[in-house]
Amino acid sequence: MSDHEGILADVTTRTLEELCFFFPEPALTDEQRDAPADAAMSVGFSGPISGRLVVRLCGGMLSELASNMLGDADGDLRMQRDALAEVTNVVCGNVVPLIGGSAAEFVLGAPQLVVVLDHAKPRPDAMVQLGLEMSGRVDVLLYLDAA
Amino acid sequence: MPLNVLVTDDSAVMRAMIVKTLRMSGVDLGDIAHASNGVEALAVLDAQWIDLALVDINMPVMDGLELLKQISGRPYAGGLRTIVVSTEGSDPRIAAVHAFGAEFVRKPFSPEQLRDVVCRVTGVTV
Repeated sequence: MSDHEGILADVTTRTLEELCFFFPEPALTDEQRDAPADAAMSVGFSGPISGRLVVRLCGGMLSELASNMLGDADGDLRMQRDALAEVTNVVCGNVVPLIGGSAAEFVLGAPQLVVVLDHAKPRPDAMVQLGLEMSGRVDVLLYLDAA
Repeated sequence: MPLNVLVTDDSAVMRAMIVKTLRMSGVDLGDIAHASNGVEALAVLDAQWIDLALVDINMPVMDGLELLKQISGRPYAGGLRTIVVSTEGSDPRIAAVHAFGAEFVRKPFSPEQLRDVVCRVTGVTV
């Protein structure tokens, strides 16, 4: 695991534990590995380094994410996507200073629903996959723009 | 005496989480107002008495730092306690938050972290 992937894993785990009461596991079962995607959100960032960070939930975890964040109600699809957007925003906001330095100032964009992952640059610069619950998974992908 | 609270964040889910955390904390709450950006927050603050404002930084229309600047020029500034709840990790921006006299809680936060800062800022014991 690269330094960037270690940062992605640490920040994502802490965010999901504290905000969402999920307890991600780095080792995936076959069911988790094959889980289909529910939704993905992207947050762009600019500053001394620029790029975007994508969080993708898989295996029916979107409604559970919203339910855990909101309490007893999992909300409608808009609220479920808002929950994923906030998680993506928090992960990105914590990852970027760890990679680019906390003395720098970065601008984070508004979270955007990802319909299709970037075909122009299909390989992320760093990526982690973590298991959620029995059959779910979260993928975190970091794309850095060329300097 | 119950605290009137304003929660300002462009995420409805985050506003709901903060309110849920405040309710669980045992703090005696009065009116709870919501705003999704700094302009909406100022409209609430100008219209009703608020004891505690929880404010995100990265918001559309008017961000949290501009909101703190606008509040500092209002007559109610002295009686309003402010906590910035944000993903912000930039040292200069966090220093700017403190320069306005606000406390800072970084997302992700645990319910206990937020409760402890609310109690410290308001002087409430639970």
